[in-house]
Amino acid sequence: MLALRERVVRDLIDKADEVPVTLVVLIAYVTMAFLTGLPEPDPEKLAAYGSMRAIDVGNGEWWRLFTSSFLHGGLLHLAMNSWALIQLGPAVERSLGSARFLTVYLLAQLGSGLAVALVNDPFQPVVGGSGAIFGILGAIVAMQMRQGRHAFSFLAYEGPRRLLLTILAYLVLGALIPFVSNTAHVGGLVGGFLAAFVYLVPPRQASATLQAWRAAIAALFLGLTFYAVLPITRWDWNWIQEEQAPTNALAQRFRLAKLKSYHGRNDVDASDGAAFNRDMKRRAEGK
Amino acid sequence: MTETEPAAPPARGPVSWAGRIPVVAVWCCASLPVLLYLLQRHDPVLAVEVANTLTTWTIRALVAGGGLCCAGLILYPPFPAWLRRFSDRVRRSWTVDSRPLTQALADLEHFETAQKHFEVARLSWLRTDLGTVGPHAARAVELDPRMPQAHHLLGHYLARVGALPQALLAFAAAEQLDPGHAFGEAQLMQARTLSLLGRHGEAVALFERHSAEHGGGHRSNYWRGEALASAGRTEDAGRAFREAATDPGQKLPAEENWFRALARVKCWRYGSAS
Repeated sequence: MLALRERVVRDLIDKADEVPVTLVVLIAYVTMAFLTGLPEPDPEKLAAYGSMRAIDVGNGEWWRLFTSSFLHGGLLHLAMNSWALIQLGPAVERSLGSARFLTVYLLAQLGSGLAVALVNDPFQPVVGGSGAIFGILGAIVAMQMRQGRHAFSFLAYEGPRRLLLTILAYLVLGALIPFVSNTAHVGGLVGGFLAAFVYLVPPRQASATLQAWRAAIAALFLGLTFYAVLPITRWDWNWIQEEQAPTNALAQRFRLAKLKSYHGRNDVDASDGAAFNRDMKRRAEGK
Repeated sequence: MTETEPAAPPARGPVSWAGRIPVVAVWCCASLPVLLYLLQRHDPVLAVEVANTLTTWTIRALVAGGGLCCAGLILYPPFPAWLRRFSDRVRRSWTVDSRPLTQALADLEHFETAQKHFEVARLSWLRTDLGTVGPHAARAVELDPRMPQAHHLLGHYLARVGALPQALLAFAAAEQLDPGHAFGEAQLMQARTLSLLGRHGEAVALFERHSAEHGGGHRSNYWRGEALASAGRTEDAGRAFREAATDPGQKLPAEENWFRALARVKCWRYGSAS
């Protein structure tokens, strides 16, 4: 029975490996770019097709963690990410196989989306596949570490050293250029690295310690996803609950929770409520 | 010593408690959102208050930890020595060549020899993968009971997992098969295990024999000092600690440096050299 199940899984992976994931992702990028408008996309359409704001994810729209990866904020954004995908995707996909490549891509995107949902301003929309592309870079580093004689033997070679410098340069550029979410890049990089380093290990090399780490990291991903979808201690989520509360008493509790969360301390008073309203008004005017 | 047959190690090798800390920390972080959710079901304000308190205390703990580290680096000799030993061990475990291990494991799928099992156990020991060391070292001993290095490694493993009586048998077997094995390391470990088992008299005698035959290092002198102190010979213990704390005038390996640092602290209590 076990052998049969293993054979079925193997057959499924073999079938999935026949699908060129890089090409499919690239087609998705271009199609979504046409649907949302070129050269400058319509923000309403971006929101409708799945751009990501932490507040929307916290409001039950978890799928935005993934869909934002296929949307882009303009022709230049699309061109840069498509170019990076074409440069990196086929080689990594040939090396890993399509099914594993897709897994790495999606886990990297999940890491990127979680980083944005947990760190960024909850009202800031994010689009773009760069988080997942950084994840592919992280996966390449992980593969180099796993395939060498030891974890850092790859540093002896010029190519991998340049790859690390390239990642560093992109992160520095991301920090300097406005409207670039470096949080998403770092999240994707970590997600892709962990996916490849912890999970894509030949069974012979998977020690008891690695098994323990696999379980712990899977639990961490699940826990963070749970928090991103139900950010119960974040002010924006409590604000929505306050608005939707069926009773006045419950609305008061959510209001207090919102203020404590917004100010990051437990002793709040009426002046903190006024400060919150002032900040929200300023935020609305800025928008 | 007439005992030569080491007992079998536990079937499933354990992970050291220190190695478990990061994994447990990750599990705690992973379970936090669920715990907060359960609290929130009870009272939304309470969940936020707990989150705020946790954040505040985490920041305070990090700041205090940083301060303590700085103070420790300056004031407490074992702390920098421990850091050096820790980084040395981490560097070694991450830079062990994995190819021979993979090759040996692949070979073992087709034929098994004591040497192959020993090779797997030795490389896994360097990678601090205790779960793999125990079964392979035990199998090596089982296949070739006259292999002192396998007994020695099995002894190290058993001592690490806390099976001291069995570790003592393994070190004794290694020493009996090859007197002075590993430049006296088996004998030294035998003495240390005796000391840890509370047989201080025997331990002191063996430490002194080791010192006479192989010369005393910082580690052996420190352990000898501990055994002497436990046996009630305070004067001799102080002398041993002072020998262990002697400045060698050159850079020591991380492990020896750690024991020298510990000995320096012991000298605060037992008196430094006049």
